[in-house]
Amino acid sequence: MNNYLKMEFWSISSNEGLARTAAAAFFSELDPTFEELADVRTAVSEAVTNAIVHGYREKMGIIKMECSTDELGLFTVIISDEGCGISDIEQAMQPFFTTARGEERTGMGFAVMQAFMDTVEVDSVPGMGTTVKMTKQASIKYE
Amino acid sequence: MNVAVERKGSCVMAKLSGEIDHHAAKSVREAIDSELDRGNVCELVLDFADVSFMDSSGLGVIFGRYNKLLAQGGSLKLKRVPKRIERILRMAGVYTLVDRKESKTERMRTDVSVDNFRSKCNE
Ligand SMILES: Nc1ncnc2c1ncn2[C@@H]1O[C@H](COP(=O)(O)OP(=O)(O)O)[C@@H](O)[C@H]1O
Ligand SMILES: [Mg+2]
Repeated sequence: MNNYLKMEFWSISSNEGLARTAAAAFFSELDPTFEELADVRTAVSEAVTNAIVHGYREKMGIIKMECSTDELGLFTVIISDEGCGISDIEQAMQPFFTTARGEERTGMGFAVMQAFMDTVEVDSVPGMGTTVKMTKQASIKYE
Repeated sequence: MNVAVERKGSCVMAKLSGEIDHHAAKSVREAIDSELDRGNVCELVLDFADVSFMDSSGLGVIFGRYNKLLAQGGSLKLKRVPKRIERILRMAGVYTLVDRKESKTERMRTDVSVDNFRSKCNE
């Protein structure tokens, strides 16, 4: 099914739940398995949390989330912020790498996104912001 | 998110329910630490049976409590961990060091090696 959703919301932590719930509800139109749905919910939560915690450093900013689905059952979500950006993306995506150890971050966010989604692409410009694009194929059978 | 903390002697039991994300982490941390900070804790048991969602922010809460307990010489147990959450714990390397036991009541009970866990986290 072809569909599109765009949301913009403030970088406040209560919106983490809102964003992952909206993304999962949108994805559920493709009749995903319970597991696939939970994967999307978790990955979206990670990306939105990163925008709030790292991108905007808990300051107010706008986070954009775009979701789309196609007729082949592919779900795509793009989460972007206009925060501080990432200087070394490869390093940032290493499991256990974090720039916020003192805040009880574990550096496992990107690892979780990569494990739970089919593809994860990160685009970032220091001082300009970060965009995370992820896809997930729903294992639906089209007759 | 709700945390019910109960203390029996030197054992602290925290029953978690709901969703543990970055938003909820602060209140979970505060609820548990208010008991840990009273000192003399030999064992902290976190019961995950009613946790419906957890992401890596929840891992941070668990790791943080480990480190805190370590300073007091206490140990941590994770109890009744749902499959989904177990997967995230496994990704963080917990289960390479874990002695996992399932009791007769089908509960999953996990003892994690604090030392190895911490060194991994502080790399
Ligand atoms: N949206 C973002 N803006 C700026 N930096 C980010 C963003 N997302 C991730 N990062 C950087 O990548 C690191 C790793 O992220 P992640 O794997 O989610 O671990 P954690 O959030 O626990 O630090 C972060 O510590 C941060 O430095
Ligand atoms: Mg993160």
